[in-house]
Amino acid sequence: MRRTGLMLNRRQLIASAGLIGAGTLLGTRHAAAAGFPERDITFMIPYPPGGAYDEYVRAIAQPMAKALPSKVSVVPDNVAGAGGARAANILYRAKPDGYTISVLNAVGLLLLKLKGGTIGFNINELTWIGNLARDQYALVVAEKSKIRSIADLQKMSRARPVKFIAPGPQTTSYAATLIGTHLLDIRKEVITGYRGASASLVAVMRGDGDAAILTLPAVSQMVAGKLIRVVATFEKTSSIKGAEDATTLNKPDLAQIIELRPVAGPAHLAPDVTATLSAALIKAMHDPGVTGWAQKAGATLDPLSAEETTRLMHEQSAFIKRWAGLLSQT
Amino acid sequence: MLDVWLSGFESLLHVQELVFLTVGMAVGLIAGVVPGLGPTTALALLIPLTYGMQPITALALSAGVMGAAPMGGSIAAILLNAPGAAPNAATCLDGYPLSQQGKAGLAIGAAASANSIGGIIGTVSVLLVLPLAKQLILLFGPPEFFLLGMLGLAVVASASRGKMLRALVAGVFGLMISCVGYDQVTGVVRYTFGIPYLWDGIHLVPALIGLFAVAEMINLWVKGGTIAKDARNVKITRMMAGLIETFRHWPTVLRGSLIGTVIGAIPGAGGVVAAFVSYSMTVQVSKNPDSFGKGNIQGVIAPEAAINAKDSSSLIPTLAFGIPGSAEMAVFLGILVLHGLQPGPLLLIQNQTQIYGLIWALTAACILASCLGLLLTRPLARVTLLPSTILVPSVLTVALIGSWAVDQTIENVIVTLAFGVIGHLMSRLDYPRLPIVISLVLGSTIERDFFQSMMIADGSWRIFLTRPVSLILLALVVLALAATPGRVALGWGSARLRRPRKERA
Repeated sequence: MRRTGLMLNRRQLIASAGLIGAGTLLGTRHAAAAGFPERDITFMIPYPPGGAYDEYVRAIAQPMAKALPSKVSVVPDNVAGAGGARAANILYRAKPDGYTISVLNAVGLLLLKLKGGTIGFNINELTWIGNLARDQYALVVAEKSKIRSIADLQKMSRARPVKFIAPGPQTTSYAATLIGTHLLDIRKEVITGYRGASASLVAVMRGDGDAAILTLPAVSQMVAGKLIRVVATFEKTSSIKGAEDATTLNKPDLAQIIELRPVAGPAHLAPDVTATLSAALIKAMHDPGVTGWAQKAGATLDPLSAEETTRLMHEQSAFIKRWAGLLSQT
Repeated sequence: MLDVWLSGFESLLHVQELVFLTVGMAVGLIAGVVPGLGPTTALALLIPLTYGMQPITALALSAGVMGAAPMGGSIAAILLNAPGAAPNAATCLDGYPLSQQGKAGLAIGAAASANSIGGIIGTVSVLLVLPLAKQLILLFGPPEFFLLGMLGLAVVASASRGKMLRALVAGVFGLMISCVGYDQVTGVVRYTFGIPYLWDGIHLVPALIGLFAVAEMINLWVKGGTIAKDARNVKITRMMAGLIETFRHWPTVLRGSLIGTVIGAIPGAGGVVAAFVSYSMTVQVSKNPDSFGKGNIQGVIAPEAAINAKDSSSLIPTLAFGIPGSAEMAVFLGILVLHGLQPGPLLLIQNQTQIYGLIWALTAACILASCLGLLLTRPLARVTLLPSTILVPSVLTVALIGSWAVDQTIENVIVTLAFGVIGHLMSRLDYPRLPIVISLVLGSTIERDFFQSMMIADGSWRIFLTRPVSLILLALVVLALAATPGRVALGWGSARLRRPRKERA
């Protein structure tokens, strides 16, 4: 057959088809990112309405929608169940188009995975978009308690195990209690099953136990009301006057015990889509309405970029893995 | 103190607050009527609407929903045996039989007035107790919660006179089901067979919808006809008689309100416990206990008074410590925080006007919703005259949608259908449903509180004897358990004495 200038051999035909296909795909994704978002975005919350995660998402949803390049809504959607695993599993299986994102109890999910729970994937496969909050822990006692320092607790633990109050065994507070008491060399017995930080604090006030390790925002109201006293914080430098910290206690690892509220999308989310969502999330967290709410509610905001969140999540995974042996002993 | 109460009341007397209170009431009434929807879902749906509102306006809207929903739930429970929310399941036990007897108007009238009076008593209690909230809440720890749960089980068991063995079987079945799921103390996941849905256990609201609404619709389909057994006897005009019945049985109202107030103030006890304990205690003290479950008006008054009293007093742990006593309070807690009202001891000092405004709004919503419910009784009671071919598919559709809507999972629908079959079989075989409900509600909390008590006391049972409140509750448990055999023995003894001497010998 006579070949003309436009005719291609089979190899060239296949290569051209491949190039056109790749170009279309890239072009489509780019076009999608360029037009993104074109419809409402669902922002999942892994717990029922009313909890801390719910409050954060509902506070930033509207400002985040305003910060997006198109006029769409960000719709909070409570997807509770299985300790947060239900939302995580739905997110993992969702289409990676940027229209389904979720805040996650990342450390809680890492613990769940450690104990063989209902997570069928590695959470670091998800695409991290940003972070809502980073809370550090504090060791608290009842206001009328005779315990004044970590040394007092260590001394007490030589006579008998110190009773620590904690919420359920797969909460981050429970993990913080196990790791924190191990680092501080305090022999302990953990009384678990309390429903949340508030119930745990009331239990400490009532004398069910000697102490508790909970996040700083969770204890702030009771501390201000002089019902609870902070003995030590796990910060590098304590933000509470008179309380010891990781530096004065010479335990730098305490500062790695944190509670994060990262926001993620499904795996393989397009970089442009991730960047758009990340920028909108950060802008929302700087919105005066959101910062005002956070101040009144005692909530801490921690706007991080997608890259910073990814790095932080890898660090947390490694930290939890390091303590896997201790955390598995429940 | 009085000036703070009055300033709270004054804060409501603005057009905007009154409008949103009314809107909340309407939403609450509708949400209460639809099985499975309830005040929790209604509040969650209204959260976005509250953005940008003044705190007092958001509180008025929320109070409207919370105050009105129980009345809506009562109407559904009485007319259709479909509890609008979990606590209304207790109203089904005598409310629905009254509907079947054509006395729907009487039942709804009694429910409306009991609702209002319970709400008022609850409010007065909250106003008096709120300054002492901290001391009250600190009195109740795991040992007290455990014994309170045991009291609930004991009261229910002893109220099942004549069917004690069947009640025990039902109760044990409920306790077994309550073991399914994640254990809050050990973190072990039990009997889930790898199904993620069961991680949280059998969900209560879908189970109750099945046990009552679906089971009753199956019964109605099998028997045919209408809910009202004799259409000629349907008296929709006896609402005033219902209102009067409540005042005639004032000890029942007072007892129910006080039980609801006390149990509502205890974080975690919940409306279901308040309603069923009130019902069961009324049966126990009644001179005619066998009439309950067959259309005794006191069986409507007792739980209804408890439910609304509970709504007011459950604000105490929620506001004072941020501990919600129910899912509804958990959502309400979120609304508080969203509007910068952080629960805790400082809230009661720094935001007194708003808090007392909320309490007044709740009371107003409760009373106004009762009045609205009465106005709607005549058209609503005609539901009892609808033939089963129309009513059964309609109610089943609404019930199953409501069950799905609880948290948008199809598994809820499966649970509802399964419990519908169980409820139908229990009805056919004359097994009481009350023990299964109370066991399902209390089972996991009793277990958790017992283990926590043992951990606190290093394994010593003396913890239940050395705390004053525990000791009182333990005595009540013993009394409740001894009541039925004591009664039987007394009845036997007095019957023997009445027989002629020759027969006695």
